[in-house]
Amino acid sequence: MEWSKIKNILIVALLLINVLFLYMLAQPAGAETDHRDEGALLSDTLSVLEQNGITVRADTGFEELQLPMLTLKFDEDNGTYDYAPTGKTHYLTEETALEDADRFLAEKGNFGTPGKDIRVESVAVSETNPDRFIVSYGGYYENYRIKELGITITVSPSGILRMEKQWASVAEAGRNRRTIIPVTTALLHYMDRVLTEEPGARKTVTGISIAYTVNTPYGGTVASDTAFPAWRFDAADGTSVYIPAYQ
Amino acid sequence: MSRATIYKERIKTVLLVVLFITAVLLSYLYWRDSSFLEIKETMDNRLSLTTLASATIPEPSEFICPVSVDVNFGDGTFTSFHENAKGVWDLLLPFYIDFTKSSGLSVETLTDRQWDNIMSFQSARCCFDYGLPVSYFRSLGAANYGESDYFSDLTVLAFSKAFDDSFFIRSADGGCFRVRASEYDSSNILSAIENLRSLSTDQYYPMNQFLGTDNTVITPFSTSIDLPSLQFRPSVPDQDSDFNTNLARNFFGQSLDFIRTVTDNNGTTIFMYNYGETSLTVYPNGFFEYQDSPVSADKSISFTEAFRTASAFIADHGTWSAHDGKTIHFLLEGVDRDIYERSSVYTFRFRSHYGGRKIYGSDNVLTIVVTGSQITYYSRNLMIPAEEDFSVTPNTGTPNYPFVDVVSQGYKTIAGELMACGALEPPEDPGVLFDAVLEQITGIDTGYFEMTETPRKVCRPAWVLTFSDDIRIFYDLYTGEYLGTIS
Repeated sequence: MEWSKIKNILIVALLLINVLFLYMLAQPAGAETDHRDEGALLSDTLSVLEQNGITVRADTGFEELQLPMLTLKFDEDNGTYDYAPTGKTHYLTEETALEDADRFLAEKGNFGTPGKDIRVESVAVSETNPDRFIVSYGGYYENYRIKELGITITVSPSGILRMEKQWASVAEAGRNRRTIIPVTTALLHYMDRVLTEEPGARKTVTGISIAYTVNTPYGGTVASDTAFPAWRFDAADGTSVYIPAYQ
Repeated sequence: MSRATIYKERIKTVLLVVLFITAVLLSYLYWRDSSFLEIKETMDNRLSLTTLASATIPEPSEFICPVSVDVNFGDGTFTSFHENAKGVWDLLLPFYIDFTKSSGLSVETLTDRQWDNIMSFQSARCCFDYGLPVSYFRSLGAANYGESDYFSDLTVLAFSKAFDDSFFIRSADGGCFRVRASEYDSSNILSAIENLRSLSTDQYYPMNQFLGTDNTVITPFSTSIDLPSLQFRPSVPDQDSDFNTNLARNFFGQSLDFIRTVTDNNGTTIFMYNYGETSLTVYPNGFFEYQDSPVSADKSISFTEAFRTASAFIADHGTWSAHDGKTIHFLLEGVDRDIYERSSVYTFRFRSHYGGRKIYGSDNVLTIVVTGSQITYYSRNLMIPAEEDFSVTPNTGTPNYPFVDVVSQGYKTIAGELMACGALEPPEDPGVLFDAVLEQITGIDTGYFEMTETPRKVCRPAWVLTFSDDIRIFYDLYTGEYLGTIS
């Protein structure tokens, strides 16, 4: 065969290969499933849950995600600390309580970037003393809450009275990311968990999110641990269930 | 060829090169994600297995050796081989393998008294600490002569001139058997036993000859072996901060990205895979423990197959040497058999030896469990010699504390230890306590006893007195000081 013709064939073959690669790269990983199928699957899943007493009233629209594991390095001084009142008092509102707590935290150490790594979860009036506010912070990696990380500060008109700290820094995010299970699969696991732990219970899921959880059973002796992504399901009765998100 | 054609061909060539480079780039972009890394990891693991397969995996015979070979020369002289028991075993074993191929083999049961009578003639007894399965001998070429109907393992393999057409077996459950051939030429083995006299370093005597007891266990008055104290240190290479991670890679592959890693404040690190179904715990001193949930494999394999599986796993996961590459000699110390669902379970325990002497204590042990063909447990508690020029100097004639003095002066301590272990009832007449202690002795040996000093551990040369129920009591070989008891 002529060399010119061989070149033509090779050019066509390489063009086809390149087009194929471009097509595959353009697809989100694992997106072979047709979106219409996903919709039908979600609808079927929700029906199954409904039949088992679980109603979902939360956003279920999640894109496929690939997430890494996290290595958390726990603070050595985690624990509960009580502080004496300063003697000076000032009028306390939700805003000033938050300001006091923010200032206190800034003095206490480095907890990452406020609003990014550490975020305010709630500011509430103390149930035991209406003059006091309880400010709760949560730990985050990117936009994902790390379940076990939190700082709770009791603010009074005469200063900070208590800090309960369970904190860790993200020492490292894994080099590789793994695709997490779709929300439909996670919902079925959630249903299975609920039916196993509370047979006959009726639940209304009001929130679905992705979080990280360490789930370490080792208490305060752990210096570092690995956090895995998990689907978090919040129910109207105040319960939250975490379903491991890796296959 | 026209100028236009040449021009066209050049464009095609350039286009081909561009397309080829693009294809390579796109291919790289496509495969560079985790799936590529996973494939690479799989490849690495396969390569590692291939390397392992081609590497030398120690055979069971390298680790299987009697704890002693006791020889009665038949003229009132005795000896016992400990540090060179392996050499004597390798010499005598082929005789038994050949013997199993003799014609007309039959097995008969003996009483303990018959056994003792037979062994009072010229004889050699290869004594193990554990029951060695008969299937092991088949893997060495021994014929199946229906012995499994009588015993499944043996703790003593013996030959005696009393019946030179026979070998004698004591099984792990205490049964005594004579395996008799209708025709067997014993001249070679008798000659081999006689030649052991030249290898003997210490003269042994039955205790009943000099201690006023019925116990016929043989012992030297003293031993000429010079055993120095040994110092050991944790086997973690100095200043190796990546030790734990590198070790974990042996078990979980190169990428530990999806392995949960927990480190506690003491420096213990736990690596977990598949939500804890597989875990590796590495302690700060380099000891480690690996556990894997057994899968229902419904698979039974032979002792030898299980041993080879264990040996290959150890070779590939931390090696048979120390972490820093120092050579360590291990011998099989124990084997247990069990059943999990319908799979066979073999537990092998290996203990390190120095200068042919066993180190008794909690450390220096490898334990590995093979369930079906899967490794479900492996722990390695290993200390290594602290001195670079570690060696044992034999036969310098250093005087040591005579065994007779050990028992005559320490019998009350020994009795107390035996009573604490429930192996001896306090006699009504205290005057017979000495005799009661002597009656309980089932073996006398020398070895090392691991003391508990940290971080360096000292192992002291010791008289090792073995009693029933695997109780061992240790006395310093040179001072006669009581060192401890292991039960």
